[in-house]
Amino acid sequence: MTTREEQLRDELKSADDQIAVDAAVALWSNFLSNVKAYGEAETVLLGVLGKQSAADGFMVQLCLAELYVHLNEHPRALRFLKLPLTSSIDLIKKAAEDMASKLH
Amino acid sequence: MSPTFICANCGIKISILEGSGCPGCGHVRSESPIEIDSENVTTSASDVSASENPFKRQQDDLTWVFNFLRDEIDNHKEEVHKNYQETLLLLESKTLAVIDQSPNDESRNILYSYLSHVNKQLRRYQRAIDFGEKGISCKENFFRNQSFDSALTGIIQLNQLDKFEGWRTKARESEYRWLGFHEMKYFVKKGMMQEALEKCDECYSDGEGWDIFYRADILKTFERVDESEALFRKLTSRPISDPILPHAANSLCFSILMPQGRFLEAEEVLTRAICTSDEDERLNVYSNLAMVAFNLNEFSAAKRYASVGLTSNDNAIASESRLTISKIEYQRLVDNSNTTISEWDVFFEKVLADIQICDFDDSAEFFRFLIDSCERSSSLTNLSKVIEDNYQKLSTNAFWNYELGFRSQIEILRVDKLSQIYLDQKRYPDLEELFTQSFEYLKNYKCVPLIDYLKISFATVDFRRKCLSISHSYFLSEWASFEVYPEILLELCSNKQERILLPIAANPSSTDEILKVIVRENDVDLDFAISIRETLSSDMIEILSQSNFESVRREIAKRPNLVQSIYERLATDKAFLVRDAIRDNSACSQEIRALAALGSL
Repeated sequence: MTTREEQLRDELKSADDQIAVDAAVALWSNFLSNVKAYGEAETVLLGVLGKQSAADGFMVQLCLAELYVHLNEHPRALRFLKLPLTSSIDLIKKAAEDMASKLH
Repeated sequence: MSPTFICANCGIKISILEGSGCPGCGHVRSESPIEIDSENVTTSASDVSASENPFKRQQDDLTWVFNFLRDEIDNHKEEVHKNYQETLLLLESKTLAVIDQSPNDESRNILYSYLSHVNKQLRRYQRAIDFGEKGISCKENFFRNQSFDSALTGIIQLNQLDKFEGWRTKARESEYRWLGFHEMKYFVKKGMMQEALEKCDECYSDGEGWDIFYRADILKTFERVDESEALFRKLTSRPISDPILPHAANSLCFSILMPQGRFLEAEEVLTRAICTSDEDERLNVYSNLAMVAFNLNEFSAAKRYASVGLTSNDNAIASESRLTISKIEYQRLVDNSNTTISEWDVFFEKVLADIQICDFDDSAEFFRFLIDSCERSSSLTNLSKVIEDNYQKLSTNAFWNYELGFRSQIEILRVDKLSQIYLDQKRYPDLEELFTQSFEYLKNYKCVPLIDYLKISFATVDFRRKCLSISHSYFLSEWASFEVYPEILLELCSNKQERILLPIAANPSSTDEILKVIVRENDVDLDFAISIRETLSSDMIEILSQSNFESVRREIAKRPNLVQSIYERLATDKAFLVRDAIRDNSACSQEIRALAALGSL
């Protein structure tokens, strides 16, 4: 485990919701998805889902949707894309649209 | 909400996460003798344990018992969290082993209080009541209250409501502070909604929201679902850090959204609540999420979530998750046409293990899987024994005499399958005995083997009389179609439903006495069914030829071998279709047919 990964895991426990959300997203994107640790990643992401504010643009849902695509669980992926598709952050919205178009 | 413990020094309730010790006095956790299960921390009833200091009035003669609690009970707290059930059982046996060494009555009663508490945690409610009965003699408020809490919880859980009044009096005399909470639960069980709501308001005025939670819970119990949902929604929209949120989310989903098939909404609520720091509720969320995924036919996800849920210390939650995993596996085996017997063997063994430790609420479903998988496995030859052995075990469960709905499901599953086996083996006396023991549960059930048994002549009239206690209309309707004893048919006629009377009307064994009872119903379908019987007595022909219904008189007019006077009367019937039937009836004389034709001109 790299120092950065360790640091992110520590940040997951942060009392600051924003730090925990960012850490979960980074952990998924940079580490867990690479090693296909999907089960753990789902726990991590679901663990911060409720902590996310609307201003975050539903990034956690986008990550979960991506994870479910990897798990070949397309109906779930589509459900979790619903909010990112309405995201106020263009990058998230665009990524959600791309993913949704591939799933349909 | 994290698990908590009581500071031995000042009695403050401390989160287990506060590893440095009591924020009130600095005492470290190992000095605390009493574990409060995190499940009940949320109920104000058990907060009483936290609010009073068990050591405040410590006297020298209690040194032995407090040393025991500290050294033998408190020091195992970590193990309790890791291995809940086994550790609690171990702590109980340790306590029982030393209780007779108690140097005085108060020490002994304190241990009884602890035993009542530990059995409440283990959901062994009868033992909680029995030990609580002794524990309430404690002079120490903390332990006396703990005993009241455990015993009253047990009484309500086991539905022993007749005992509640006596306990209420004792609790009042003892000034047990949280009696109101148990009274609220008692009124719910008694079906007294208004009184329960009043108690709810009386108990919860702290502004935290438990008043809303329990109000929603009460309203849901009394099927005021919309109001209940609105209140739960109010709580689930709170900030995620609110300790009530996961409780409300789980209740909303489990009690309202999922039974209504609103799985997607449930998923939304649950995924928001899953980040709670209350470990028990988090695992409950996972268990509920597993059921949601299962119902959405997303079996892989359901399995992932159930695997988390089954790590819960709360057997109700763990059992529910084990059940979801069994449902997934069962579905997989059933859906695969190439499933081998050895795969069914593995599933059967797993269910056999699960049913031994399941929560009683899940026992009927596990019992169903057990029977089904046994039939498909290599254990098929032992099916009767498997059913009887497991039925015997389930019948010793503390909830057997109180959770009658689940018990009834188990009884029906047992009698249905055993009767099939006995019938195939022509073990008729055993079969009658089995049915006789089970009529209470078959009252509203279509028991196919019982119908098959009634078709054979071995079933005595006495036994048939007993079967009349069954009120399931499909069962009665099928029975009525083949029964041969007029006495029984006459009794079946007392069910005035058309579904039952129709087959009796068509049954060749129905006598005139029976048919006349049916005719009194003055129902066109029933009269018609009689009119088309192959044989009819002259008495019945006379009655039906004067029926109020044209279609019935027409059927009579079609018949051969009627007495002349009836043909004559029908030839001049006011209904065209009756006269037509006479005109076309070759059994009638030319004159009568001509008379009928004349009337039709």
